[in-house]
Amino acid sequence: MPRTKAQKSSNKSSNKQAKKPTDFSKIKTADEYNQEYLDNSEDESEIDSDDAFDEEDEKKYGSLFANNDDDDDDSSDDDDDSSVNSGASYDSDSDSEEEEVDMLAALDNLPTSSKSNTRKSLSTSHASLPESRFSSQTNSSTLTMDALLNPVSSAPNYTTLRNTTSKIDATKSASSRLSDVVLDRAKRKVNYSSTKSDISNWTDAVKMNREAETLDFRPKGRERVTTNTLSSTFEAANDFEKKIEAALQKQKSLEDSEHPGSFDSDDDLGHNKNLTISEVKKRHSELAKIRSLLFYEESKRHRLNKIKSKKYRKIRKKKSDREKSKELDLLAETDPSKLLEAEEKDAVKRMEERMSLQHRNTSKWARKQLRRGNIDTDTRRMLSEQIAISDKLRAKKDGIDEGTSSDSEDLEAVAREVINDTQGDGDEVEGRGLFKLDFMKRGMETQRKRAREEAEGILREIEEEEEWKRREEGGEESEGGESEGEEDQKEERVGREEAKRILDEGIERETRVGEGITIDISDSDSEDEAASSKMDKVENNKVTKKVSTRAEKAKEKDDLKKKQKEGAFETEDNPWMQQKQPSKKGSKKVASHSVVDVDAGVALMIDKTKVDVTGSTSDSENSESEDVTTLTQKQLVKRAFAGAKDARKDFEREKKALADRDSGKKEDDTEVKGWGSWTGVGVKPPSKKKRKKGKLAPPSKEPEKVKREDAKMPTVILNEKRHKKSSQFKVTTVPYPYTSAEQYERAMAGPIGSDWQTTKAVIEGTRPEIITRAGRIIDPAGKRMKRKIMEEKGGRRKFRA
Amino acid sequence: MKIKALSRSVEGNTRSNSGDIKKLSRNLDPKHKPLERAREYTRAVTSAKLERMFAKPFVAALEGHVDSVACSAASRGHLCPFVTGGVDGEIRVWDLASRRTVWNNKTSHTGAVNGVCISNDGKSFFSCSTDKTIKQWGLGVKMAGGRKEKRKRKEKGVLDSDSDSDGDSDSDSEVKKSSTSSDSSKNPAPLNSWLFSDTFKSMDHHWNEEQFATASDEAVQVWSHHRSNPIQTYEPFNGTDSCNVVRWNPSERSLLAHTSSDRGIGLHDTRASSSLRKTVLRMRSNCLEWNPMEPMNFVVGNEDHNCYSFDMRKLSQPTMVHKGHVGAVLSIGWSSTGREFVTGSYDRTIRIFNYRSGTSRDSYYAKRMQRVFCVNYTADAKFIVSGSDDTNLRIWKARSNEKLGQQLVREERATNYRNTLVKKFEHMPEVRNIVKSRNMPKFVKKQTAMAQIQHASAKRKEGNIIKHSKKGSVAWKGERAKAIVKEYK
Repeated sequence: MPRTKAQKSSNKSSNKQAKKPTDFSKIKTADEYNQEYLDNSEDESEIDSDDAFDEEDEKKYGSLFANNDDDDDDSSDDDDDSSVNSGASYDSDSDSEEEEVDMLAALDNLPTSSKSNTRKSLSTSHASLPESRFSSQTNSSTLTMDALLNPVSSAPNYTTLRNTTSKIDATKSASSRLSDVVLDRAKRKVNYSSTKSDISNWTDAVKMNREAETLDFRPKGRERVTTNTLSSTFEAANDFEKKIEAALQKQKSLEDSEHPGSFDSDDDLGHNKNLTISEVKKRHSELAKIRSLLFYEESKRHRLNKIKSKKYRKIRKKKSDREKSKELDLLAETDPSKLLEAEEKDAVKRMEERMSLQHRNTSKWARKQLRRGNIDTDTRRMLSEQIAISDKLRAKKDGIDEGTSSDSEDLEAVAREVINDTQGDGDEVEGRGLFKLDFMKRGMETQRKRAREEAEGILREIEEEEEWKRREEGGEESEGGESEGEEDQKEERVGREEAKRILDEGIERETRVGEGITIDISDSDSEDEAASSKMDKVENNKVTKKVSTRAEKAKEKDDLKKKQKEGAFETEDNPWMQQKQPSKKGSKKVASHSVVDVDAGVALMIDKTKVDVTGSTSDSENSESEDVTTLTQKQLVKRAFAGAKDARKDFEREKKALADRDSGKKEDDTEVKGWGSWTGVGVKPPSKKKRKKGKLAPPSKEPEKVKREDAKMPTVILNEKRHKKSSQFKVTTVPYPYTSAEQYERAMAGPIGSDWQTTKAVIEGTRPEIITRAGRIIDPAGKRMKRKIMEEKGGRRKFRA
Repeated sequence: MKIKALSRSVEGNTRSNSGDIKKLSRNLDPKHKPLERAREYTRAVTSAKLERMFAKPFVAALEGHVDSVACSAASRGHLCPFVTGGVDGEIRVWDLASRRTVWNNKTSHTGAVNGVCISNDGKSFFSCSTDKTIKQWGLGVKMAGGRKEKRKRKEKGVLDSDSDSDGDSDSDSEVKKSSTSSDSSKNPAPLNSWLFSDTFKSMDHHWNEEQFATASDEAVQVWSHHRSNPIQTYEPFNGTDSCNVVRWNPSERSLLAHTSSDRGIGLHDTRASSSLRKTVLRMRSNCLEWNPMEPMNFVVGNEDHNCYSFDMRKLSQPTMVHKGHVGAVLSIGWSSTGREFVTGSYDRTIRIFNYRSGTSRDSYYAKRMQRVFCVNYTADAKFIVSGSDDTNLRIWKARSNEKLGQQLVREERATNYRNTLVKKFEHMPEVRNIVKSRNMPKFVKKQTAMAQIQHASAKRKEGNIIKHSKKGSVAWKGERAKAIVKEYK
């Protein structure tokens, strides 16, 4: 029915047109318009009211109207109803609709009065309703049986034929047309599907648009101007430029003609035209040899430079020294002037060494430090380093070998001094801080003891040596009288050998005894020096090692040596000892202890064999004077955490409490507290009655036991609390576009900033999704966009193939 | 031991002139720049904060109307002309660049102006009203500075120095006072007018032909510039309620869509005489706009505070529900990029939605802004213009923190980097909180909270119904499916 409505309204508006003041000179008349657009929009010629009938209809149905006017009224009424109905109840095919269709069919089926009329109507209907996609079914006049039979009306048995056909008509009311509602729906369906398919042509374009990483709406056609683009697209515009260009061209051609291939005329390999093939070959081989030699040398040097061994360096140095001295000798023989030169060079070098003033405490800094007085350990160490350098230099100057600097007399004196020191004034200094601690004291004591032992050993050695000398002097006379002593000595010698062997296995032997002693002395001398510096620690270790070597020299028993070795091992292993080194001075008590110990050592020394049998290793542990140095790591730890005796129990209790809390276990909740018992002041607390469980309180559901992660780890408590600070940096779920944690993690990995990426990568990585420019109008998706995308697709296909 | 001394070549570190960029040599070895993720995260947080600090979307308020602004239209070929119609029948033409009224007629209509649209050539515009008339008015846009002219000039190779940002610079020359309105005392007369039997609710101009469509009380009409009567009329085929909005598809140009008071959305094709399809929603749709970049998609703003995205090929349910408003959505405007649209609502706020997200990206409001009746993007997708009940027109930035005007290259790169960082880390709680948080008016805040409660309770109720009815007899209904009552074929 839309068409009729449109017609109606248009008619109305055309009526109003006359009253309108506006000039519509250009505008076509309403009738013309009607004619033009109705053809397109017409669905079916439906009779609605008297207005709707045009000439054509009148021609067709004129006789009918002439015959029965009442009928006409009825039908129009019916139509009005039906139109309303169709509007309201569109879905269900209404009966009135059917009736209407039937009536129209009847109208069409009515035999017309004249043949010519019929033909005319047919032809006009064809003309007025051109076939189109949207109006293919708009022809309302159907082909009737009468119309078919009309041409043969003159035939002899026409009447019979007509009778039979009329019978057919009567029996089967041939309703050729569908209901309008159904028709409309069908049409809508077709139209909709065709529009849909049209729209679907855009899907590729839309998809591309959506998937594009960047939509760039900036104005196009403006390239960036760079020097490259300028030079590549340069064209001489004016005369001046043209002249210059011509001149440049000329020059270029000239150069080309003068030096054709000038760049490769002569090179390292002698690609010269004057050379013969054999010469070239020779030169080539020479070059190859040199190259290979160079390479070999380089690789060798590389390898040698990488060697870090001190020993190797020492050997190398000696070697070079030897070579140098040889050279010098040679020079002295051949060319004294050159020798002089070399010596001068050396002298200059030495002067430079001295000029640096590092060897003397005369530098500004050193002087200042000394003047200030309160010198801390570091400064002291540095100053002493300087002194050491100066000593070294002096030794160099004096030509004294360091290794043989001290003789036995000095040694003896030093040893005696040490013994005196350790015996006396132990109580003088009460240590501060850490040194107050018992084990520190004990450690110091041991240290002291060892120094003392060492000194004694040295003394003994010296004495022995002297005795030996003496004996050698008057050896023959006293041969027979000293059988026992000899035996002793023999025994001792065997022990010495054994000790030597052991020492060789474990500790690198200290060859220069004198040096060891000097360090020892400095150690013992530096009474006020804090013993915690690392250097001293190292020294200390050294001392113990040296002590053992000297002990060997002093013919100590090997069980004693073992003990000392153990001590040395302890000093290495024991963290407490390494950090807190005792000072030389101890208390009197300590001193006396040490005396006792030394005595014990002597006793052990004497009946060596006995101790050997019993097993000497355990005696240090079993001895009453158990000190820190002899403790094992385990014992130390045990001692350090002595306070927490029931730590294990505490730990277990804690773990259980946590597990209970998490599992939500409660203690016997079934009983309502206070129920059935007296309360008040002075009332005894009720003895816990045994109730039946679940009588008063409802039976609680067994709470689901939350499995703690540390349930299977007896020695660990894992903190399962939510960490507030770190939760700030975590996402609870995988965010929307990502489907898995890995994917998200991958997207998050890798920085994008210019600190980590090249400029190009940064620009690529940070390009916005949409780039627009102010003032640039963005057109809606048009045919151009579609075409472009189709072209791109085609291009890609081509590229693939 | 080898010592590598620092060495710098003179050529590499000196500039030939002061205009050259300073070369920065960087070591990209990651060991020198550890903890990159942590550092970038910190930067992202800072960027997010900066983004919110610089978020000042409001540009200007244009005063002039004496009654609420009912409708507006932006020119399609030009940036500056902007036409608004008031409820009192006044029409004003604005020059957005200079923020002035360049043309106005207080008695253009005797009723409320319900729809305005500008013709494609930019020479005239149309208005329709409740007084049952359509009028055509001259719009004095000089085509010399217009777009086609510029294109021609470009082809010739003559480029203006300011052609990149011409929208703002030579806009004054574009909009001239109409010749008809030379004397302000006399109201300008329309070029043409059409009388009709029904009142008009909305109108839209065809995208390339000289036709326009109107939505009237009973049907959708298609008019030609040169005809006194509608050249086509489409009635809603199911129900005979009045039509509210009609819009042409910008790309598939024979396609029309309308919404009607019977809660329906209808589609028409001018090549066919009949309608195509109709779908009925739970509540009435107040506005409809086609996506300019995706011809099959459109968005409707509904009375139920939501917007619904539709694919015209599948009207049985919307492709997306956009939520956020707490009042009926009265107007929608698409960004010409096709990626965002702006909605004006009865709750006195404007919201910007991404075309594929259910929640708004941003929301704007002003202290004195009332119900928003019309919103439009400018053609360069940089600004939003809203007309509201408080008789003012407001210009907003489309991206609230964007810097206006030309940016230096380095500045632009830094901005891009910051934006990328924020986008990368937007899922992190801290960044998300900064980026998403908005101070909304008390009313909106309360209503939002209430809506959430209502939604939760409705959901609970639905769950209860399902729980207590026979198994399989009632099923959960999706949020999108709920919106549609029936689709008529």
